[in-house]
Amino acid sequence: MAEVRIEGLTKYFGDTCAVNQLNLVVRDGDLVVLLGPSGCGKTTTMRCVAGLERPTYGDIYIGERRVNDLEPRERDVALVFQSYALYPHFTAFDNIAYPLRLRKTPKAEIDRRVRDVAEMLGISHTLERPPGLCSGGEQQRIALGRAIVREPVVFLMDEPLSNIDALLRVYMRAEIKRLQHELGTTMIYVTHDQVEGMTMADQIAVMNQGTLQQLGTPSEIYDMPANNFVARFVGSTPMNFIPGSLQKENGTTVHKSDQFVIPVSAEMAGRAAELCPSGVCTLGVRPEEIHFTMDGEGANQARVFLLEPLGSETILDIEKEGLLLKVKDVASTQVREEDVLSLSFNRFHLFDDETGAAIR
Amino acid sequence: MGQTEARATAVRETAETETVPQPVEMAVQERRFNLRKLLVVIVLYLAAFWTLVPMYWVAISSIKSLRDLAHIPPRFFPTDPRLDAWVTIFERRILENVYNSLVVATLATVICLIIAVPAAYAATRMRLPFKFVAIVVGLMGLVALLPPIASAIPLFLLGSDLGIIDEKYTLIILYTVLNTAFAVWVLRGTFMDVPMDVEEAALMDGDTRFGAVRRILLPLIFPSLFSIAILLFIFNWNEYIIALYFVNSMKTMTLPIAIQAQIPQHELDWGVVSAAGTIAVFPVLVAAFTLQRFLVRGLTFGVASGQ
Repeated sequence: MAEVRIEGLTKYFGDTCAVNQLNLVVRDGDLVVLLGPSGCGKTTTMRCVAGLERPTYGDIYIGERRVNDLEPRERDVALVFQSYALYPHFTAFDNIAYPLRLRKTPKAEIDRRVRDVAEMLGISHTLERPPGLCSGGEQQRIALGRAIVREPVVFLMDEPLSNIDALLRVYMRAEIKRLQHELGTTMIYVTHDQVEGMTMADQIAVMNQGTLQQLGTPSEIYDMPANNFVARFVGSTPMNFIPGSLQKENGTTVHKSDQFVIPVSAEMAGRAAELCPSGVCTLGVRPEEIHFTMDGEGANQARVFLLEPLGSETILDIEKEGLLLKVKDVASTQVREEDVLSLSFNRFHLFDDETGAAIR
Repeated sequence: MGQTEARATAVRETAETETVPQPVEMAVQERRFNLRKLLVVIVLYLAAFWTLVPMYWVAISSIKSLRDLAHIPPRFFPTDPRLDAWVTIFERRILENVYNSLVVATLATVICLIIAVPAAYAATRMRLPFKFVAIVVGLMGLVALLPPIASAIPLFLLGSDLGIIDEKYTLIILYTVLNTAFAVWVLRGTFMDVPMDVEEAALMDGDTRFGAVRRILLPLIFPSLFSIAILLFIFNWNEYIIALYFVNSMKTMTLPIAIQAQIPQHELDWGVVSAAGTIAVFPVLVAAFTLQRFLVRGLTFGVASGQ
């Protein structure tokens, strides 16, 4: 068990900056998800913690130890690879036993621990087989078993679920979360799948282009995105963005775009005046925060252009003058294509167009 | 196999994407009549015939009587087999040449691999730029690219200046040098086929870099390594031109030179030459059969991953 502290981590590959001045503290026993699009530096960050890459600048601490100059084997962290990276010439048993054998664990203990772990993961029946003869899900668990068996102080997971089919993935992500809770071991989990991030994490660290965009609990990330990148990246149906600017109309502030005029609360207007003097900002609103009536009254009218039924809900694609909005509605929606709706915007965010930062 | 059956197999296959193919199903698929396969087999048999006939010819010529040897049309079966040629060849101490060839070919192969494996490892795993690797290996291989006769003369001059002509170790050094670039290049490809992940997993599991190479990487590429070793051995075993310059006496004489030596100025005895040739082919045949076993293993020995 240990805390992981990353201070000013910077990693260059040649002239390319993969990670830039990253500061991150992973509390002991937490499951932190590094979330971001491919090439955002999340895997590089994790590999620096693992010891497979050396930081160009910055320090990494595991517990109280500064581990910059330690070999991977001296760090006591386990890594589950995206490809599982099982040893194809060993049986599943030998794969899981390998870290224990390297530590010169007595044979009887190896046997007991490997079988315990296999039982916990439900792969006892595969132990005598080489990984090549196991299904994808089984291989995945063998890789997990190999990481768990040696009881490391930190688990690192590099997109461990991206190679298994969607159904199994839903199941496995709960399984990994449960394991992590049971073992109480600090875990850093890398993924580009925001659903995995939202469902599994104690804390999410959203990264983009090598820099940390926001660190927070899933609900903080979802409800209070720090900037338009985080807002765009998180959420199954992405947030809607309406470019425009803040203007005074009849004494109240409104966000005025080519399509809509949306009143802004006095409180928000005050902060915007301070943080974004130009007033040029984009309004972001989640699909479930747009409400509508079908009576054809009100200022913000738009036409439904497509229905996307998802079974549990329906997404309405609404179009107005080149702007496309996605709005969530119940599954049994009364709305039909080509209907005209009056929209009202409940909770929304404003993002400074110059910096992308949220105004709040 | 009927169409319905084929469809049933296909359905079963799609239904079992998550499971491993059962041996029974694979057997069914193999039994399916396949015209293409038949053609391939015929071509392979022809090719085998094409290569095996000369070997057979050399072997039977070594036990043919002079009359049979000279007979026109040629005889495929000796009418009066005799072992005279074999007696002669052993009297001429051919076993010493076999020994020389074995020592030179084996040691040159082993030393070459001892140099080439770490070099190829560095070339694939140390993030060296491709251009750098290509240039270094290219320079190493430059001598081997020349026609042997062109490199043999300067090498001979160099060797005689150093006073190391007619020594087995000289042949070993030369063969090693000539083959290293080739071995590095082939091994480089082999190493690249093993995902970096597998080795890094070993590092994460607590192994040292050397341990990861020894316990994970080398066992994984063993079939390829063995195939390369056998190829190198065959190159070394058959090498003629360089040996021709560097061999002066029975002490160093390798088999190809010994066979050449059986051809005197007058009165060529084809029986003796054929007997020597048969001896020379034998280890290569053994090597080829072993190689074939490993080549097949190498092809089916996939590195498991979810990709």
